[in-house]
Amino acid sequence: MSLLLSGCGGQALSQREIVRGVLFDRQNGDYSVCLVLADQNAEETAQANKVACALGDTPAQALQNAEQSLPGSVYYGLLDLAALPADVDWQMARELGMLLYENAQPAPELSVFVLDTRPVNSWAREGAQLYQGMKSLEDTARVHCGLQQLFAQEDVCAVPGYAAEGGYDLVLLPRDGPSVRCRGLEEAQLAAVLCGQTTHLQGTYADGSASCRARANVTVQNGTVQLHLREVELRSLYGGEGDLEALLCQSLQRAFGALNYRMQAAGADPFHLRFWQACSYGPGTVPERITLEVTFE
Amino acid sequence: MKRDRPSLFAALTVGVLVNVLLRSQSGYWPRAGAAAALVCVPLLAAVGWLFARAWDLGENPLLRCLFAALLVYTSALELLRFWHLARRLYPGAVSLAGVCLMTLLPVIYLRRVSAISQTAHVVLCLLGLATAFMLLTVLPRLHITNLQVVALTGRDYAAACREQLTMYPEYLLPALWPERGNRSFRPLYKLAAMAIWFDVGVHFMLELFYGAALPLRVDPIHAAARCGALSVFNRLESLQLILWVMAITLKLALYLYAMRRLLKPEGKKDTAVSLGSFPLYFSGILLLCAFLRKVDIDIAMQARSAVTWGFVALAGIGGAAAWLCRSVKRCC
Repeated sequence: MSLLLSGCGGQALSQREIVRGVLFDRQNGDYSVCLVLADQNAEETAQANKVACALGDTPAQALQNAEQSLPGSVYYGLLDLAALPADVDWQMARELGMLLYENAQPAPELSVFVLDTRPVNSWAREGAQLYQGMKSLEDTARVHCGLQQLFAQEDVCAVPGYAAEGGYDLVLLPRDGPSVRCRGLEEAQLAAVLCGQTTHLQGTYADGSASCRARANVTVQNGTVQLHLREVELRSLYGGEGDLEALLCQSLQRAFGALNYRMQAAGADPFHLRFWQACSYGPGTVPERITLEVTFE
Repeated sequence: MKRDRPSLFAALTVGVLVNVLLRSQSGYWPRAGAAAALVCVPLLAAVGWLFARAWDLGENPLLRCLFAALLVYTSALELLRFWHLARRLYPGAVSLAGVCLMTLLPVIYLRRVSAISQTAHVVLCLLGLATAFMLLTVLPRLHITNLQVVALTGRDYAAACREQLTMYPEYLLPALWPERGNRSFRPLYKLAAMAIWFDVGVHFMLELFYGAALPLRVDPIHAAARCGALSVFNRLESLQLILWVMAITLKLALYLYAMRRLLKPEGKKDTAVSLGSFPLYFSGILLLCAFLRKVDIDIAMQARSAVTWGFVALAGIGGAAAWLCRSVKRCC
């Protein structure tokens, strides 16, 4: 009964095309999609992937064309990663998310990334590498955005962006404003912590003059966002003397101020500040001036 | 004594809990649900209790046949609902006949009321364990900031009341058990409270998981369970579906036992369904499922609830009329 309900009553899994990742991109007004598939004929099955790609006027059409280009029937039950185009906006992110929900029916916890701003020249050459790169980024940076998190807030969503040169970006997609691609530890990783997508900071700050590794979590009290840093390792990369903690605080506070200003201008609240405000003062209250306080524990 | 008349409360509880777990879409915001539960729990329990009193006073062959028809229709809808769920999750993998056979055949084992009672306790424990396990596995994905802070409107409260006041036959079945003259309000209150607060709890978990997208997701509980990372196949879906099949089978067995009590009232001390009635039962349910296979299951479920409320009203009127006649006779 279990086998029957798990889909093994029909075609055997070994005869299907097992999709591991779906990567979307936009090229000259058309949509292209790359399906990263498990290569079941390869000897080292753990790492072996093949790709199928297709173009279409809409994402749905591109996905359908890619599915039709495969000899076997497509199986999405083991899908674990989806990537959105680099120039994605809120509308497109929702559209692609709904497409995955309705057509591919994956588990909602598959990881979602935004592609790097560097254009993809060839899915055939780069598709499998991009998939592997994003999977390893998820493991090393411990950042995760599930598919359902695209829909968890009505006015904004935040998605980690793949950065080919290392680390990750964070793309904030407000419904009523332009997309914001945050880069580096101060902006991207701080935003990811505030959005609840990671609890780790790892990278360089202050124009690459120092490095930081820490565990982070956030509490909000009386209009102050408190960033608690634990197991902090700060290191000067140029050997200079200075207060690295104060430098990190300044960098993070400056980045937070800029991010908060841009999101307020777009009328979005990716950092859930309205939620904490409502918890303290009741629904409908307007947030006061919000500041960031960094505490080292 | 207990062996002759084992308690079927666990089976009724499984019946109402499985309604929550097999829901294809969330019904309301948990805050509204929690407020509505304060009214709906006593209301449903009171309706069940009044129905039992009215049934004792004014049962007649017409009402018995109507109740039995309602149970047959509900059994078919339960099977169809599960078939729709399996079809959405695994397109083309399982047919309606497969679902029917899978759920109906074990009913033969559950033809004795003692078997229903024992299995219900086991399934109830398994359901509790599976729910707790699912919660543990999705715990890292529950974000408190996903809770919605917008002020609720009257429409939200109305939606919660409408969902919670769905009338399931489980609230009416205790009227058929043989404890006549000793009807207690408490078991019904416990049943309604467990069903509704479990529903509110599940909605709360789903809001922590889905946030603003809660009303949009299809099969939200199953989708959330698929995110659990601790299982044989990395996901819990197979084990969960087997458990749901067990719960539906139990529900069908309970309905069959109730139908037997309705249609053969002379043998009220019997505690088992005779084997001879199974061919008719199987063929009847299969035919009804085939006949109803194209209906919109959500609309059919709502219509079933409305018909059940209508039946409760009819039985209430019948009971009140019988009570009035007896009072007048006594006075004369």
